[in-house]
Amino acid sequence: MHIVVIGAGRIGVAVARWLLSAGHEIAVVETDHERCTQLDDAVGSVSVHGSGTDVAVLARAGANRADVVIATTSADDVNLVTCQLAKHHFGAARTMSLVHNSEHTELFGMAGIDSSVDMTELALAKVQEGLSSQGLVHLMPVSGRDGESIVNIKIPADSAARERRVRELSLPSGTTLSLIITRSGGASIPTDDTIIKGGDELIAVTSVEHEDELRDIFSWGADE
Amino acid sequence: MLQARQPAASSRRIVIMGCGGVAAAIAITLSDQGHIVSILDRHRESFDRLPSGKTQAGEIVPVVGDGTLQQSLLKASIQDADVFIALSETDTRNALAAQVANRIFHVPVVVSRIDDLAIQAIYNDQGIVAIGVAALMTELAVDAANK
Repeated sequence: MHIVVIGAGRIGVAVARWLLSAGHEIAVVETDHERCTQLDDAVGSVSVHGSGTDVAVLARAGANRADVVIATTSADDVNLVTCQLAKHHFGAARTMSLVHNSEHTELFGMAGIDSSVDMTELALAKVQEGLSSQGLVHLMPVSGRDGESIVNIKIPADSAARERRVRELSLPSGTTLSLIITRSGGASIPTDDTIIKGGDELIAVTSVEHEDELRDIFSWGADE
Repeated sequence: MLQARQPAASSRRIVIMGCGGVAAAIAITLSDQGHIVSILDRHRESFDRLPSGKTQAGEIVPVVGDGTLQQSLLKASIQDADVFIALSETDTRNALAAQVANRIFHVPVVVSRIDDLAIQAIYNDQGIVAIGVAALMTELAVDAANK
């Protein structure tokens, strides 16, 4: 495919590198001369110097034969107009755009942008995901025991359970700590006297209904 | 061409984005005609272009804010506006604000300054009256040359 990327900032360059590695033909439109040179030095001659809202520049980037135009600048207004030009002036089949202010996401859809990447929403979702899955990852179900699974728990440095013995933790019933892997890499079977340290990893067997409780015991110490 | 100090047939609520020289002149003329004008600009100093008599009398209401953002537009009572006019210095910002006014707030009449002819061409069939220096001057010069 021929793909036109607008903007050679961090995201534009990352997208461009990935597209090249996936075998696509690309052009990257960038207003800053130095960024153009840096990009060309790094990946070969792909840059087109100028603004994505200038039809002459888009034409030089091959917008008229583009399968996709991807707007990655840091300005929502520039991204929107660039995609609309690509669609209306050049008939680009598909337009994609970063959206930095979430309130513009709905408008981008109404305005005919085929897909929008809401950067604020994306960052928020990642943070939420990071918090809610705080250290607890499913490894495998326990065969024959419905609802039970083997999980991996990473102990954060500021865990509420740090420097405490296993017996003090009031683990949920039916939960067994099976293995402890210390930060230095040594593995052993935890006993009631084993002291939990930040940076340790635990392998445990637990049931679905006790997962949140288990996660809370080892998460950071805010609610002590 | 523009007729000042004539009472409007019916008073309209008008929100203007940008308070540069052209925008201030348009705001003053519309206010003179009896319309209620709110004017948004990101920089308070821009309102120095407005006659203090008009702002003190509440005939033109200056609002500090970014006309591409819903929160600022609401401060200028965009939800009650009959007309929105985007007159900042930047085509892309005008295009964004005009589409917010048109598609999100359903303002009945939306006018946007778009100087670039190719960008201007996108919006005229989308319920936005796109006006720009290039198009206007071309029209005026061609008219004059043909006289």
